[in-house]
This record gives sequence, structure tokens and C-alpha cells, in this order.
Amino acid sequence: MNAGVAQAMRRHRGAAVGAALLAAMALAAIAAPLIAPIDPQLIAPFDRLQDPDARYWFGTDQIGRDVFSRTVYGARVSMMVGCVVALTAIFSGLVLGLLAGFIRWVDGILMRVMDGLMAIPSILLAIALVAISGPSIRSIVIAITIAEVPRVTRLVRGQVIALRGQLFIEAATTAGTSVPVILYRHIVPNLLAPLLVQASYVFAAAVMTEAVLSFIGAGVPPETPSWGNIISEGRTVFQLAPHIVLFPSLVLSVMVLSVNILGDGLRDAFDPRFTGQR
Amino acid sequence: MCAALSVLAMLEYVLRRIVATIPVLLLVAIIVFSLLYLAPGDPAAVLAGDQASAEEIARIRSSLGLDQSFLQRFLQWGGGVLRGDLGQSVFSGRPVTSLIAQRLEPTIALTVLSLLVALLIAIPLGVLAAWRPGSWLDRGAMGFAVLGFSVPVFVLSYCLILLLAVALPVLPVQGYKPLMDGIGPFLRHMILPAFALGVLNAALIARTTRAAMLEVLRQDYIRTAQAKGLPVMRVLIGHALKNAAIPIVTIIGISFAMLISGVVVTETVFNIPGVGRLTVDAILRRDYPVIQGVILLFSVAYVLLNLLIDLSYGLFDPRIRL
Repeated sequence: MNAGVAQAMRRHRGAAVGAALLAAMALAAIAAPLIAPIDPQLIAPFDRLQDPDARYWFGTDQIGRDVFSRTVYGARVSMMVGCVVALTAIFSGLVLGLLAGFIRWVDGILMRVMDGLMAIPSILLAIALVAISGPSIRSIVIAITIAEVPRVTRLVRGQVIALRGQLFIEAATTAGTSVPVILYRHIVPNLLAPLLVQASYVFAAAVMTEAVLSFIGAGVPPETPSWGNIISEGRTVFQLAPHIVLFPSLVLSVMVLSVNILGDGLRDAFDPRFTGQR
Repeated sequence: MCAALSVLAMLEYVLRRIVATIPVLLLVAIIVFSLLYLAPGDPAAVLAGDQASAEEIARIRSSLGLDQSFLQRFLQWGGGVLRGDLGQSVFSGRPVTSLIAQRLEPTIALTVLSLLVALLIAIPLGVLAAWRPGSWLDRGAMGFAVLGFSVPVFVLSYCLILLLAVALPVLPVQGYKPLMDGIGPFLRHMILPAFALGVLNAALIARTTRAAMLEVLRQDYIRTAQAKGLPVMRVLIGHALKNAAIPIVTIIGISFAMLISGVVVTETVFNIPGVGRLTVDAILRRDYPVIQGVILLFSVAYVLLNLLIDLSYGLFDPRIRL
């Protein structure tokens, strides 16, 4: 499995670049206190709305906080939201999809609920869920996870149903292999590749949704710097000091782009049909 | 006889699709209702004000029907929704339907114009990319598509504002002029938001157009059309695009969800007084009935649009009519 991923990386340079950029940002997020030169919460009233210079690399905001330090700390929120949502959404989707794929009466009920959830545009669903539980990182993670789970569930269910029709599963069933063993030994390993690809897309969607939620004021509370709320706060002074909006925007776009290229590369590597088509 | 049969079959197909939509709409209604049901805070206490006594709050609660069971309240609410009553705003006390109705024009304008921009970019781009796969044009188009997936709409919006409204002040930074004030001012205010949203939405449509076209261009009848000397454009548009239409309209329907999310953000960036802005204001004020109404409206619009798209398949592929 790991060798397969490494091989895929060698063949798809874009994916390797995406992975490298993502790794760099993950490191920056972890080492934020070492990298950020100034306390992200430090208010310097005399240095309000400074343009980028040697001291303030990304300039300062309207109350004189260092935009570079805030952006570095913002990476923590994005990384955390991306990772946690990707893990929980993939895991919940896997469990629900396996249940739906193997137990008929569960399938009927579960997939109708998923249809209903998918009929609500995911940002709106997330907005509604955050509105109920109050703006905090925890409720954002839960909200985005709920919005992303239906797609994963549907993917897993489709794959399970396709796999169940295959001869090797039929053979295992005939040989008297129990359902849990079939799941563990035959179904789940075959799901890993598509789930890994899906995880990268869920990660990208989560980072994007968090930024949008924080931007419209239904996200990370202002005490914690996140790219979305830095941009949101910079909005009011955009014409005076566009750097407050532009730098976090650039970093945010680069992160989502890296994850998307990584996901596309993994998809191409796992699915020979796509190779050379992009 | 045969024509009558196929009309009947068509009717049956349409009816079956419509009936299949009803459970989805019901589920959306249940989910959206549960959101308000689960929302914290007591609307009765809010309406009664700070000085209200416990009895007064209890009286308001029972007059609002808040002391009833989930099912009773859902049926009451659902009945109201069917009659066009979405409840009242907690903040202004005005009916949610009239709040939404007031804000509908800018939102419809923005949605239609961005979709137009998206199609005008995506369809030619996808067709040309598929015509010469692997060319610089194809690579450029697909690079654009990945970029389009990755750049949040507010980021592109601010770049465009900086470029075309601040550095080069040719367009207004923000605001909205209703269509009644003349088409000129209306369009001037709409160009940047519609373009920002349209360009990003074009990414997904272009990618799907290209994939669908690649599939069709492989077919024998395309080779025949080329061999008999038809002009390239006739082959690409008359033969190929027409047969690639179903996946393309399908993705347009799916991308409508992205478009709706984009509208909420774009209206915030450009200060457009539409339904999206109403949503954001309602979130900041915790005005749950408004949030609920808007989400219901957008979701129903999304489901119905996809139903219409399902029904339109018959126009593109006569086989589906049977």
C-alpha cells in the first residue's frame, strides 16, 4: 500500500508538489510559535494598517496585529479542521456505507436520510448546524463532517455493492467465511484506495468551508485567528489595506490547491482509466 | 397509435420522476424543521421581553404551540409551509416569506448572470479542450479547472475588486442597483460579482464538458461525420456536443448547490441586499426562523431544478422518452 503511494508520487509530479506544499504547511502549523515572529494577539496601536515591510512581512491589521503571525497561527485551525473532518467523515462514511451495503433494511432508511442531507447545499447545512450549536471550532468540525458524510457513505455503499457481486467474494461466502471476516479481509482493503482519494477531497472541502463559515461570521470565534476570520476582519478596510485580505487568501488558495492536486494525482495513480487524461 | 403510446410513456416517466421527488422534499422539510426544533433559546421568552413573568412566557409558549410534541409541531409547521407561511422573524417580527420576497431580485439576478458567465466560459473551453486533448489549450483549460476548485469565491472577488474597482476604477466596488433603475447601472454593479462566481463555477462544468466530449468524440459516427467532410464546428457542436449534453446538464444541476453557497458569500463581499445577505444577517442575529426559511427555500429550489433537469433528458435523448 505505502509502496504503491510512493510509486504513484514518482509518476505524478503534480501530486508530489501538492504533498510537499501540504507537508510544509503542516510543519509551519505545528511549529507556529517558532515561526511567527510576533504574538498573533499582540495589539500595537501605533502600527495600525502598516504595509508589508521587513518587520511585518504581511503588514498589520486595523488594531496593529501582525498579519503574518496570525496567518501562521491560522494554518493550525485549517490543518486541524481539515484533518479531523477528513478522518471522522471517512470513518463514519465507511461504517455507514458498509451497513447500507450489507443490510438491506438499513440501506433503505439510511440512503433516504443521505438523499435528504445531500439535497441541502453543504455550506447551508453547515451554517445551520453552527447556528444551532454556537460558533466554536468543535461545532464547525461537527457541522462540516455531517455535511460531508453523505458523499462518503454513498461512495462506500456503491463500492461494497459492486464488490459483493464479484466472484472472489461469492467464493468466500460459499466457503463459509463469516461476514466480519469478509469485510475485514476482502471488502475494506479494496476500499482503501478510493477512500484515500476521497479523504483528500474532503480535506480540501473542509478547509474551504471553514474559511467561508468564518468569513461570513458563522465560524471560528474572533479570539482564535483563522484564515477566514482574518479575511473577514480585513474586509472593512480592504481599500485602505488590501494586504490583510490578500495574504491569507493566497495561503488559503495554495493549501486547497495542493490538496486538490494531491487528490487528483492519487486518483490517477489508483485508477488507470484516468491516466494521461488530464 | 404509436404516437399516443409514446406520449403516455412520456407522461408516465414525468409522473414517476415527480413522485420520486416527494420523499426527498419531505426529508428536507424534516431536517430543516429539526434544526429549529433543536435550536437553543426559548422563542417565547425572547418575544415576551425581559420583564415578562413566568406565566406570561408560558401563555406565549402555548399560544405559539411550543408546548406540543415534535410531530404536532412539525405537522403544524409543514401545513404552514404548504400555505406559504414560513413563520416570523424573531428579530423584526415580520413574516419570513415577505423578508425573502423583498430580497429575491438581486439573488435571482446574480444566480442567472453567474450561470450565464459560467456556461459561456465552460462550454467552449471544454469542447475545445476535448477536441485537441493534450494540447496547450487542453492543459490550460484543465489547469484552470483545478484552480477553479481551489480558489474560494471571496478570494477571486477581492482580487477582481482590487484590479477593476480600486487600482483601475472602472467598476463600482460594491452595492446593487435594481433592474428598475435602468439596465446600465444594474449591469455595472453586477459584472464583478457575476464574473467572480461564474468563473469559479465554470471550472466544474468545463471539466465535465471535456470528459463527456472525449467520450462522444471516440464514437464511430463522429469519424463518419468527419470523413464525409463536415466542417469541424458542425461536427463538434451539431454532432458531438448535442450527444454529450446529458452529463453536462446534470453537472449544471449539481453545481447549482455550489452556486447557492457562492451567492451567500458573494452577496456579503459585494454588499448585495439579496437572500444570501439576509442569511448572513440572520446568522449574526440568531434569527432561526429566517435561517430555516432560507435553507428550505434554497434546498427546494435545488431539488426542483434537478427534477427539471431530469425531465429535460428527454429533449436530448429520444430514447429516454420511452
